[in-house]
Amino acid sequence: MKRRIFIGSMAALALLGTAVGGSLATTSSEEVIIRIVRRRFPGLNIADGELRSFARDFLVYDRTSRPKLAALRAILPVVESPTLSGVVPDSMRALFHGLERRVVTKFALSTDLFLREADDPRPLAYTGFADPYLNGCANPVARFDLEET
Amino acid sequence: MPSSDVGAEAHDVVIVGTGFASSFFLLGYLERASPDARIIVLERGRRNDHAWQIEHRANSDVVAADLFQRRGDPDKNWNFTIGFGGGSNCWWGNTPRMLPADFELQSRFGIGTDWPLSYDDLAPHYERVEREMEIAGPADSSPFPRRGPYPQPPHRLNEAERLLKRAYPGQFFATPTARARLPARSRGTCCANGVCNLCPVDAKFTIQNSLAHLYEDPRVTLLLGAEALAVETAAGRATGVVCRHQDRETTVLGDLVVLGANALFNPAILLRSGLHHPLLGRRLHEQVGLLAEVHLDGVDGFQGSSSVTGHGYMLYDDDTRRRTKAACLIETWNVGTFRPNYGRWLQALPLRLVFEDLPQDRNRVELSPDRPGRPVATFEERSEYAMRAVRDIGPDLERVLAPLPVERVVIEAAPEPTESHVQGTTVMGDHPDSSVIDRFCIHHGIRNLVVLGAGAFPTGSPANPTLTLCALSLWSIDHLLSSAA
Repeated sequence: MKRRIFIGSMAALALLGTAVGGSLATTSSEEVIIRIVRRRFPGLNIADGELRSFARDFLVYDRTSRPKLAALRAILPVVESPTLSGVVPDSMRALFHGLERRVVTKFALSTDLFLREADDPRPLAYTGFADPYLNGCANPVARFDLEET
Repeated sequence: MPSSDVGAEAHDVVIVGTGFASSFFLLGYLERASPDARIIVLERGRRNDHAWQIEHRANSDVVAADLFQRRGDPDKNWNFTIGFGGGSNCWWGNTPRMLPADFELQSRFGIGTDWPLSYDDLAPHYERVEREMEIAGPADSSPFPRRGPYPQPPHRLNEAERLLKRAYPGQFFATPTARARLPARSRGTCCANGVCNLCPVDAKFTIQNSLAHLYEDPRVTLLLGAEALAVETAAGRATGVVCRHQDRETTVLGDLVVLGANALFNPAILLRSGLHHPLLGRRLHEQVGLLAEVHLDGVDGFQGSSSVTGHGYMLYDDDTRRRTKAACLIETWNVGTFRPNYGRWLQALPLRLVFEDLPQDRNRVELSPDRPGRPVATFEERSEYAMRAVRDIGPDLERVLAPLPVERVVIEAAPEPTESHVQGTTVMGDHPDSSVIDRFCIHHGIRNLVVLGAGAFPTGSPANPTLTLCALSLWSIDHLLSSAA
């Protein structure tokens, strides 16, 4: 998509987003992350403070997502709207989808989601941002048993 | 060491670069060199150790893109590291051998060029490199002829890979890799972080963690920050290397000159040396990489014990296929992003599809008249042989993935900008008219000049080139020392 058309489309979508979701200033980057997690993990049982900690740490440590977040903040209400999301160009949809997947992945790896049974009633615990440069080994899904190869 | 001291001495060997090619050549040389041998190694970059790299989240303080110019396809890029250890700092550590057929594309399939050596010629050197790197690899069988087990057991496959292994026992294997499965001599085990270009736990083989002792040998002088500019010659022999060190140009003298800068800079050095050849710098190529993702129904992925744990040869070890379109190595991955679908996050198998590309003369490295210090890498387009295979990948994948419970396969629209390999620009061959170097990596015209690395490759198979270029270095030094004896 040519740059001018892209910027124009973003501006139009941002205005539409404001109309749908209210002031631009209310959708912070932190809120974008929290909303993605809440939508992709329906019925999520986690303390608000822990989810917010995850969101803040994501903003600090996940450098690759910062430009996408900045671009997507304003259009988030449009992307989330069942009736209006169809106006979002494929390129922006792909951008958002990529960000979603990154948030979902980091959230799943940064909690004890994969370390508990599916029907465990306890609130999910935020165990620290899953960054291998912070934690050394940050992949709770991998298995290392030698006997099964 | 001041440049003036360096220029005064005569050395037995002058080596350019400290990456894979140079280091394995040095390994072979030191084992048989006399106690009073004098070797000098010129490394353009600095020695940024692992701790520095982690602190700066970078393999080097040198920005590779600043050192050359790109022309042609704007989406085609080249990736490498300048600094002690070269590409060993940024590589991901996959170490398959080439298949025997990869050395014989012309005689077997009527495509491309045959190599001037065979798989059997390189086999003992492949074994040596695998021992040095303590490769973790499959115990049961192999797509290429091997003797004995790998030094380390293979990484654990994920559940989807186990299904592929059951369906294709002779065509799907655990990836041979330099990412340690067990504690190695000088590094810990891989924990599947998926950031192998800069491993947080230093689990992959690098020159820094495993071969640095070579550069501490009393016979070796390592000169950092020394950029090789040209090979000096007289009466048809190389006499040394002109280099820039501490803002001064000096000539480092040597009886044997070995170029181990990568396939962008080796041809540039030779061009600046006036050692022209119609094919010098030409045939620039690397593999074509295409990302895909398999969405699975009820089967989880991601449980493997390393980033890349599976190699599928279903679209590679296929003689009929290769008569008309490129072979493709299917890499199956354990890292990436999860599916965003609730409860089905892990029901995916990321793939990297690696196609061979045929070298073409129009893709080339040249000197820039106004900036000879910054070679120009021109890449017009990939071969039709490769792109035919890329276009056909949808139906090909549908067929070979049938043993899996596939919901859908998502294939990226365009290839990746680079596979981080650079190949072909100082091509090897038996005939001086059609090659720059001979089968032992010795320059056809200057018989005490060795040109190492993947620039020698007459064709590039889907297999990652590192194991092969290291084996070539050992093959080369073995021949040189045997001939001298």
